[in-house]
Amino acid sequence: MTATPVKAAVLGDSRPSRFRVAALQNRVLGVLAFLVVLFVFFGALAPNFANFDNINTIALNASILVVVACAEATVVLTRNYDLSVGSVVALASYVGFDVIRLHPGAGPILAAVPMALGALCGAVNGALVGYSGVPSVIATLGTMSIFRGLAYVYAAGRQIDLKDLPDWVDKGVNGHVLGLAVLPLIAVVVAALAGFLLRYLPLGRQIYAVGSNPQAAAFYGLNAPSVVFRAYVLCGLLTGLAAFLFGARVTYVVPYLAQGLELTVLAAVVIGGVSVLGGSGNVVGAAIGAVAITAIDNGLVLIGASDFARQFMQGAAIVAAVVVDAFVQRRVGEIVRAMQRAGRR
Amino acid sequence: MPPDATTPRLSVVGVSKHFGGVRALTDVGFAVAPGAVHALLGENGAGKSTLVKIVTGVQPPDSGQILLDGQPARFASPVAARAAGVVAVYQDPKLFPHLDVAENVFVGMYPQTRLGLVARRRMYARAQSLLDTLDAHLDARQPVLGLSIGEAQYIEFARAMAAGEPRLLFLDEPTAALTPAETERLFRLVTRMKDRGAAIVFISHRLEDLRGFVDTVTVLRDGRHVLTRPAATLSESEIVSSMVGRAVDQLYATPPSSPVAREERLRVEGLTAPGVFNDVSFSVAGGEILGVAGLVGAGRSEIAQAIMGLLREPTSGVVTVAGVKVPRPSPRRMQELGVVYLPEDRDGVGLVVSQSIETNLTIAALKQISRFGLIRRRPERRLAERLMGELSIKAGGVGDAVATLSGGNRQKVVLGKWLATTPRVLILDEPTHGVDVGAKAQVHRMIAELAAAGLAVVVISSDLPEVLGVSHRILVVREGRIVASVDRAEASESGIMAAATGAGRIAA
Repeated sequence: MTATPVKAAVLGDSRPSRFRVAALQNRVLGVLAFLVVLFVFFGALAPNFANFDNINTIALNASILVVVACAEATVVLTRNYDLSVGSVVALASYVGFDVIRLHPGAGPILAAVPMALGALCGAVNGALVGYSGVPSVIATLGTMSIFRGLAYVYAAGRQIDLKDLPDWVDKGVNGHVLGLAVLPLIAVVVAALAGFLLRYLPLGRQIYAVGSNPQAAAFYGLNAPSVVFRAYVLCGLLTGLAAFLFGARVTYVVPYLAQGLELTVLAAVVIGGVSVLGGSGNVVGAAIGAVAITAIDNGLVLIGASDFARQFMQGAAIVAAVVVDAFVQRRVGEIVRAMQRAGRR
Repeated sequence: MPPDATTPRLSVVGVSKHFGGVRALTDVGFAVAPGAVHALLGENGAGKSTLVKIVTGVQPPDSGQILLDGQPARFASPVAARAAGVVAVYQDPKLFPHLDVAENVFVGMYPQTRLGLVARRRMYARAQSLLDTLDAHLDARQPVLGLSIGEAQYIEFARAMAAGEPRLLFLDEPTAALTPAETERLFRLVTRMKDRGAAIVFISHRLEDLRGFVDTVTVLRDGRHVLTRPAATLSESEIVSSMVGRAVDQLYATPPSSPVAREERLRVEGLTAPGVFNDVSFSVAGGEILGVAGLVGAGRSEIAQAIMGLLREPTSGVVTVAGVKVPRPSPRRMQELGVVYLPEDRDGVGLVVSQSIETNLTIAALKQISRFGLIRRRPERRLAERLMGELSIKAGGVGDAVATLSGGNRQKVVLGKWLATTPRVLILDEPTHGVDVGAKAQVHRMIAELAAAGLAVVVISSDLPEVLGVSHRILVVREGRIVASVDRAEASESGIMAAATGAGRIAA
């Protein structure tokens, strides 16, 4: 008996392709497909869903969520969560715009103030989770209240009117460049840049490694606490940027801005194929997930669904995405194992 | 001290280390010469791994000194050690499953561009060339998820060489999970590194691995240095007795010459899972020990999993337990029928280590000791004490936490947990993988006793002397097929090896 016929008989033609694994692992394609399905679905139900104006609205509404989703994804990749993003947006935008209001002559450089505030909040979260070892859900649940509380205390019942702010704020954020709205452009640049840095910056690869196997990361000399800390700072920085954009979009900056944002963002991240178990997924997926969430919400409004239905759908979307994630992870494992078996023979 | 006058590559001088009240190492000192293979032997808990961790900068010593080429060396981290050419390859590779092979090889020391970005193309090219040097048939871009332990070990090797040629290489039980062919390849690789001047410290339980390969032997026992001598001057039994501190006459308990003819317990006919294994048929009777030999990846574990209904791939064929046909096996159904499978990864699935021995022993047999759905304390205690006695589990009492037990004793607890359910068929997958010599002999004796008590036992093992030593009959699996079935009397190591690898591929 020679080995060849056995090999052929055992393998058959069930040998899976590398492509399938790659396709399953990189779920950006899947999220894109989901987005297309959404557009077809709502387009059929609501005649004014798929027209240019509405798509423009979706793009504008999704932009800020995209930025926060990129921020959240960075932390989720390390196998942690940041539940405080909504509060960070409130605190950073209120305090940030107060500073901008008081220094009208300083110019657009002051857009860095909310970002710095966000980074500071991120540093607090990162220190708690990375260095003190507090489970991220508990730590950021706590800071969620702390940051929101600080915003209320600082505001002391006041609100900041967009009219009191220098012109560059409104023009800069709500304006157009070469006929394109600035806000979606910023979102695209942020997603592309964050995606690039996570792939090409050593810190980016360490973020993936720490999320994939924290013990091994420590073993190979990666300073896991420091990596987690820096991921939170990055998250805070981007959330601070979102805070600036958010504040410039609303008529009044108030301390109860962005209530419940953390859940919407988590939904976007998970739908975007970032595994809640860490180490897998990317920010571009999360960004598309944010667009999908926004499109769902927009579509539900157009078909006349109630507020409750929208909240229900958001929760259902998170749960469904996590179930899909678990399924895909398992399926990838199976296919890869089958490939290994085939490869060994 | 080594016989030659050159400076040793590594000198360990009076190193001590303790964890809480446990003394892991006490005043250990020996030297390793460059360009030589040095075996570091000892039972589980003898302090070998602690020593490796101290030298490679994972843990600092409490006292004592490490000299590298005569210079004091104390590395702050494994990364610092690796930069100095001191690396360790572990038996359980520590990998990042979501990342690809190249990223795993270069983790923590990515090649970078002038801008400080990861030079991805260079990373893949270098990883691929390292893998090719190692003769590893791995693609640098392939995801690590799902690699076998043997394949994963290549990544560890590539990693060890990524920072340059290692000066001092620790191999911690590297052959434990390898097939004979993979082991041979590993030896060739190690020989090549040694010829280029590296010092290699080889940690192993498998004494048979070391014959003719090792230049010097160091034995540790209970955290103390016992001996360091040229391998040529030591006999195997001398090594073993210095490891366990007493003479060991026999490593393998002899099974009863032939099983008393009893009724068939497990019959498998035409079991097939496309792409995994094909047309597998065999049967085991009560009192019989059936060995299943073959290379890692030949499909042996998968066959066992299919019998238990644990395999994900669709399976066809007939499984019969004690005359009862089981059309669609499920773990629960098989357990009801008295078939127990102990997978290779016992710690992961078998034990709640923070709980007491008693809780662990009785968890699978709660029905027996309960009335009206409530657990009765006294029968539970009796059952646990009986099993602890039968298996001679060494502990203060049944109330001790499993976490306090040694590896060998934990193994017994897993076995005891299933014996409590009074099974009829026992399928053991690599029952002595990573177990030290003394405990190994005990496991073998236990297998023989269980069979003598009437149990049908299937032993899947990559350890050839073990299969030959414990089994009445041996099946050889190659590429998903049973290629040979041999009686113990006619079985030889070379014959089984030839069948397992496909005759002619390896000169047996």
